Amino acid sequence: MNDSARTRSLLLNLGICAAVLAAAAAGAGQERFRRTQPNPDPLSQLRLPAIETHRLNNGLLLAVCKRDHLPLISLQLIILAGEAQSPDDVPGTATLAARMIEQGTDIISAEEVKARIEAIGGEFSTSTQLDYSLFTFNFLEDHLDKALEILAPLILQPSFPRRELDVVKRTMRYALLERDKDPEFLAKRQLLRLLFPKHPYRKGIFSDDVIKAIGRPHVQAFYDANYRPNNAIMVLSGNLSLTTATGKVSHYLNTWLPKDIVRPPVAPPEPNLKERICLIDNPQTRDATLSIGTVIGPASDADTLPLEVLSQVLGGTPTSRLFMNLRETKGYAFFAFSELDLFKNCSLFLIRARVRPEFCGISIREILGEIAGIVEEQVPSYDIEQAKSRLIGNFPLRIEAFDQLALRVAQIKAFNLGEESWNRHYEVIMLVNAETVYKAAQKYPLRTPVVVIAGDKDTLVDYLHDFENIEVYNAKGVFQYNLTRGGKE
Amino acid sequence: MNEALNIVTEKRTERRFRGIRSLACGFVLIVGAASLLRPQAKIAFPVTTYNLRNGLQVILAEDHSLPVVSVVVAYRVGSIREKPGLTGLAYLLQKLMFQGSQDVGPLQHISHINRVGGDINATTSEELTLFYQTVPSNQLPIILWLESDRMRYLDIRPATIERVRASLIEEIVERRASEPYWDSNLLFDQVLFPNFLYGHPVIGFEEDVLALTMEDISDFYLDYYAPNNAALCLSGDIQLPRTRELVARYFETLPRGRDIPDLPPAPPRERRSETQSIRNYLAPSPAFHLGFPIAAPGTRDFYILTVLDYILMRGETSRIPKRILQKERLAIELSGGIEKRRDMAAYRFFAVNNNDLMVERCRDAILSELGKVKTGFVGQDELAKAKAMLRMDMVRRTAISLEKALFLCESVLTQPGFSDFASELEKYLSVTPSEIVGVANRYFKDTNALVLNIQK
Repeated sequence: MNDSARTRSLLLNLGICAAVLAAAAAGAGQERFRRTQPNPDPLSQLRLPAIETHRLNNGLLLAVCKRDHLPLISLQLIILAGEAQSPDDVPGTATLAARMIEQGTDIISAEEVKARIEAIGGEFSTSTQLDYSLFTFNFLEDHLDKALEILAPLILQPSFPRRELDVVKRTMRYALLERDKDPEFLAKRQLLRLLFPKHPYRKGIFSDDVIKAIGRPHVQAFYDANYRPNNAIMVLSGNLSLTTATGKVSHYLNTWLPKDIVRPPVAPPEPNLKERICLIDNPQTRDATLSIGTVIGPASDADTLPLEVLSQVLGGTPTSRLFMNLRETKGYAFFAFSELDLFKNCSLFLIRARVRPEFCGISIREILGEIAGIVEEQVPSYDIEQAKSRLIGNFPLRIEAFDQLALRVAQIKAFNLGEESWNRHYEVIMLVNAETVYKAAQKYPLRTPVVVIAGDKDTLVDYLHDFENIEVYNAKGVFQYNLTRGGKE
Repeated sequence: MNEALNIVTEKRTERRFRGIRSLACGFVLIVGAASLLRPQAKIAFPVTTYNLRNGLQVILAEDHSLPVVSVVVAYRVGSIREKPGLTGLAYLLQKLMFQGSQDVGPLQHISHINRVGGDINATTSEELTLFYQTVPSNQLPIILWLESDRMRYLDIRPATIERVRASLIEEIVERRASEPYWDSNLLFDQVLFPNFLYGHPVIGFEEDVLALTMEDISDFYLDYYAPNNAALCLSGDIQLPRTRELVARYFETLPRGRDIPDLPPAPPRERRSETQSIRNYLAPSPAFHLGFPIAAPGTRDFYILTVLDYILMRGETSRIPKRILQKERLAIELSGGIEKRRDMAAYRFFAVNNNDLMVERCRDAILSELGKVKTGFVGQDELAKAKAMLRMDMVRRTAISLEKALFLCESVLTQPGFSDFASELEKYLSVTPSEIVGVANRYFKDTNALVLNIQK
C-alpha cells in the first residue's frame, strides 16, 4: 500500500472528517524544519537599467532604457495633454483625438494602418489620462525602422477622416454605456465630479452624452495645439542604444514642428472639510459600492511617498487594516482597499469597498474611524516597515514587462518625478518613517473625505439613518434631492 | 501611477482569442539536465530540467534582469479527471489549496505574498491546475516551503469545505446570471466534445458541487496533488546550486502518490453534421455557435491549423473579423479559434447578432470565408503577416518571468513528443499555402459542421 492509500485508509477507518493533514503528517513523521516559516535570503540588489535621454532639435525628448534579453522593443509616445486639456465645453476631445491618430492620413487608410501594424506582428494601443495621451507600440526589434515608418505619418499628418470619426465616436459611446453598468465606475465618477467641481480634471469624467458634441474641428484644433514635439516624450525600451534611437527617430520625426504651448497655472480644488455623504441610486443593485476620497498633492510632491506608505497600512492589501476589519473581523464587506491615484496637478487618496447593504452605514463609520485612527495616532514602526517592504518588493514586478518599464520611465518624465525616483528608488522608500507619515497625513483633510455610495436607494436608505444629510443622485449623476433625518428636501 | 481614474480611455489591438494558450502549448521544452534551448531569433533562454526521486518534474529558468522569481506548481489534474456526479472537484480543490495546510494557516500563503509585494493566483483548466506567484527573489525559500506544505499536508476541514463550497455555488450562480450565453456555451461544449470527460464545465454543475462529500474531496486530493503528478517551475533571479538545494529540502522527501493511470485515448470522432436550436429568453440577442472537430494537438495538421487560425481570426485585419465586424457588420460580437482538450481539438466560432436574419447571414459569411480558404491559396504577404504575429505572441509569452514559467509548465505537462524550441517554431514557420488549402478541405467540411442556434 503506498503512502496516499494508507492515509485514505486511516481516514476511513477512523470515520472522521478531520483534516487530511493530521493523518498524513502523523503517518509521514513530519520533518522539524517544516514547522516554522524559513527566513528569506538577503535582498538582492536592484540594478535598474539607466535612463538615457536626448532632446532632438525639434524639442522631442527621447529616452532609452536598454534591455537586451529579448528581441522586443516597446515604444511609448506621450503627448503631454490629456483630458484636462480638452476644451471646457467639449470634454472627451483628448480621448477622441488620441483614438483618431491611428485612423490614417490622406494617403493611408485606417484599414491600411492596421494591416501595416499587423504585418510586423506589432501591437498598438492608445490611452488617454487626465494629464497625457499615450501611444504604445510593441514590436520585434528587427522591425524598428518599419515601426517608425508606420508611426511617423500618423503623428505628423493625421487626417481625422469623417467616416472613421463616426465609427470611433460610436465605439466610445457604447464603451461608456457599458461602463455605466458598473457600480464601481458610477461611484468613482461621482466622487471625482464632487471633488473637482471647477477643476480641469473634471473633464476626464464625461458621460456618453457628450460624445455627440465633439466634431472634427474640435479634434483638429486639439491636435494642432497639443501634438507638438516640444510637448511630447518618446521612450524606447528594448535592445537598442540611445545613439541608434536618436538617429532613427530623428530621421522619421525631424519634420514634426514645435510650437509654443502656454499652460496657465491651475489651483488645486477646494478641500472638503465636513462630512459629505452622497448616494447614487442604482436600482436593482444587490450590494453597496463605496468610493471615498480626498484630494492630496501632486505626484511630484514630497508627501506622496509617505502617503503611499500610509495607504498601504490602511488598505493596500487584504492583510491591511480596512480589509481585516471590514471583511475578516466583522464580515461587513466583500473587499475594502485604499490607494493613491497620482496626477500632475493634484492627486487622490481613495478608498474603495463593496459592502453588504445592511452594513452600509456602519461600514462607512468604520472606514472613517480607521482613517481617523491612522491620521491621529502615529503608525507603529512595525506597520510602516511592512508597508515599505511591500512597496520595495512590488516595484520590480511592476516594471518587468517592457511596456510597463517604458510607461514608468515616461511617467517619471511627464510628472517631473526626478531621477531619484528611479536611480535611488529603494533608498528613497527607506527614508520614510512613522514621523514623516504622520506629518504628511496632517497636511490634508483625510478625515473628511467625500463619501459616495452606489446602490439601490430603496434598500440602502434604511441602513443610513446615522447620517444627518445624504445627497441623492440618479445613475447619471444628476442631483435629485437631499435626504435628511426628517425626510426629503 | 494608478490608471483607475481613467474613465474613458483605452483602446488596444486585441488579437489573443481563445486559442493563444493552445498555441503556446506547442512550444515545449524537453531537455536533459542543464541543457540550453537552441537560439531562434534570440528567443532563447537557459533552462534546466530534472526529476526528483518522488517523480516531481523540476524546471529552472535563470534570468537575472530583475530581482524577482516566479514559482509555478502545475498539477496534471483538471475537469478531465472528474467522474460523472463529481464535477467541480478540481476547481474546488484549487480554492481549498489556499485555506491552509499543516504548518500554514488559512490564507497565510496569500498574506505572505501580499506582505512582500508579490502577486499570486491560480487557475484550473480541463487538463491542469496551476498555482503561481511572483515575488522578490529573496523570498524563494518561503514560497517553496508554502507550496510544499500544501502539496503534502493540505488541511481539509468540514467548515472550510462548506465555506468554499458556498463561494463556488455563488460563483456558478453569478456566472449564470451575468453571462447570458453561459448555458448555450456548455451545451455546445458537449456537442463539440461529446465524451463526458472533455465536455463538462470546469466550474462544475451546481447539483454535483452541493453533493460532494469530504471523502470525494480527500480522495481527489490524495490522488492528484502529489509530486509524481506535478511540475515545479522557477523562473527569474535564481542561483542554480542554491535553488536545487532548496527544492531538494522542501520537495525531495514528500512521498510519491499512487500511480495515476493514463486516460483512455479520445474515441474516434464520428463524421457528422448537426444543427440544434435552443430558446433563451434571457439572452439579449440571438446568437450562434459554429464548430468543427479538428486534428489532435501535436499533429502536423494541428500546426497548420494554428497558422490558419491567425489568417482567419487573429487581429483586426484577419479575414473573418474584417468581414463580419467591419465590412458587413453582421455581428455585435464575434470570437473564435482553436480549443484543445488533451488529445482532442476543435475550431469554434461564437457570434451575437441583431436578429435571426443576421444570424443566418453571419454564419453563411463565415462558411463562405472558410470556403475561400479551401479553394484559393493564401497570399505570401498574408501568410507572412500570420507568422509575424505568431512569432510576436511567442516572444511575449517569454517576456516576463511568470509568463515564461507558465509556458514551460504547460508545455512540459501537456505536449508530448516535443524536440526543441527552434524546430518547434520551424513547424509553424514552414507552413505553406498548399498545406493550408489541404487542412481547410479536410476539417472545414459541411459534413463536419456543428451548429447551435440561440433564439430569443
